[in-house]
Amino acid sequence: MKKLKRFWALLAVVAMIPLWFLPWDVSAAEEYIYDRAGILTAGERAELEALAEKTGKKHETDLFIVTVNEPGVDVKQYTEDFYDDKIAEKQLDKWNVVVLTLDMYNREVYLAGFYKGELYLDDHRLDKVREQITLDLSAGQFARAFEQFIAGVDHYMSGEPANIFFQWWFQILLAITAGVAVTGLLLYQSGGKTTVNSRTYLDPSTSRILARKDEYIRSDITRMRKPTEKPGGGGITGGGHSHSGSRGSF
Amino acid sequence: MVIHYKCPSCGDDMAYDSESGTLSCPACGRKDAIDDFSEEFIIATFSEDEAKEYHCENCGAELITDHDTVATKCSFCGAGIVLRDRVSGTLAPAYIIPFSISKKEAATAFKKWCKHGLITPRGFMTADRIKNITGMYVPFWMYDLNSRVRVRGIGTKVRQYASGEYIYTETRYYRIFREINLDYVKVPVDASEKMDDRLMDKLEPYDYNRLKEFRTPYLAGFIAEKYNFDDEELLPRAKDKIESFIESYISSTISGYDSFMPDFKDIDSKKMKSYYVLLPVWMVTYNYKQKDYLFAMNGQTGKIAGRPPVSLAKLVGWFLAASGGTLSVLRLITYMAGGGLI
Repeated sequence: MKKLKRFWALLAVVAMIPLWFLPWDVSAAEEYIYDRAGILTAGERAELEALAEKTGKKHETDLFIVTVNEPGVDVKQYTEDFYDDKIAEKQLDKWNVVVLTLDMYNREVYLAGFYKGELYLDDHRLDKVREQITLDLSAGQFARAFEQFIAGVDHYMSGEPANIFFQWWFQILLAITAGVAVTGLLLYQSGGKTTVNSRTYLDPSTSRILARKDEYIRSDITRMRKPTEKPGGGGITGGGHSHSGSRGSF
Repeated sequence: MVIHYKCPSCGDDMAYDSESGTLSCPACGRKDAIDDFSEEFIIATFSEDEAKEYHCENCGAELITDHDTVATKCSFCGAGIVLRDRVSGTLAPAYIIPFSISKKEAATAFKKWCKHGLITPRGFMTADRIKNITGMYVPFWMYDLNSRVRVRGIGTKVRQYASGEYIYTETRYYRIFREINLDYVKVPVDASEKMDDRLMDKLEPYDYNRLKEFRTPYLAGFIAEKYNFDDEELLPRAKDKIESFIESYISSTISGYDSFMPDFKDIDSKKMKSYYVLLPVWMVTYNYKQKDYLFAMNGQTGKIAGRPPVSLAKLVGWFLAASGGTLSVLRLITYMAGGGLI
């Protein structure tokens, strides 16, 4: 019974922890579409702006679409700098963001998720969203591609986090395992524990190693190429914010 | 032949008292040290299966015992008696651990233990229905075993390092040899046919500091049995018992390796000595819902073994608490990471 009380006490303490961390710093931006390359019409822009705002509010995550047409731009670096600039502007610690950056000069696209955005959209899921819109991007149907991007983000953020550890089925499985382990242990111990160990009857004064040999024979070395890090994946911004990412050409 | 312990002062029947460690008289309170109580053992040869008739010297009643009984109480006058020819000659125990826990203490300790059951039904915990509690000296063989172990095999040490474009895994192979001498002292094995081996194993360990040379007065007032299996018959069980101990000792001598594959292993265990001893056990019969449950308590340390009934409701409760607790914690972690709570 005492154990049970301790358990609930611990649970109560654990339940307090989120209060120190949460809520995430969320702040609605005034502008979501930064069409610096000028590829959208005013009507498309307004429509996307409204869509991004609506979807972002729904998931407490700001959605940005940035287009750029300059030489010497690295699309990933550009995305990270964009985030660092914006978060500094807003004076936030953490900011839930999903960004799509379109580099018209190099014809590259980069998708990134920050904080809650990263939780729901890992590299793999961002890859999927990017693959879905690549065709439209190649065809020059930018507005439609961006719409699809927002729909893809909405789809994944309405579901469960990307990591299975945060998913219901896996957590339920873990919980059942814990329950079986606890009841199994109780059943096993109900007949009395075994309290004899390997030293109970051992006479330490005469028990010892009489002879030992540890002789080196040979060694072999195998080598494996380092798994090359996918250049398009996530990373950490100059400002120290980790993020997921997906990079590709169109 | 039947032995009685008559109080030299008042003539009443004396019995062994676990608190003072003496023979004591319930009528006048006289206590006599066991070593001083005169006794002469006649080493008699006899056939142990021979039908014997015993008569209580107190009241003259015929004693009906089964042929394993060594000590009992007269069912007519209640006097504690010892059947001497069953504890002499080849049947004479070398040592005995006397009871340290009295019947009253045993009953109290048992009730307390019942209340601590995490999955026993509530009714069982409070029923307080000890039907019978019997102090019993159970025959054991204790073995001094010597094991000579020789092991040979290949051990590996694995190291990983990165250099340039590659990750290198270096495996170093060693030829390992160990010769070990192991002595296990006084490994007890229960020699009574009636006792459940697993139940008796769980009562271990006993404190051997209180191992006394055997004297019949210790048995007065208790029930005792003689062994059904001799030391040669039970030797395999003793070897079985130390097998896992030996294995864990071997692996403790092969440390610092990431793997060890033995290709030769020779364990030679020999019996150096064996002793016939009587160990104290309180047998408790507990009645719950018209069913008897049998428990055993180490008469020296108070350790209890035996399977109490299991409450399905409590078991389900534990399951729900454990899984529910785990799930809530996991959901909180998810929430903290920025995911949904529900």
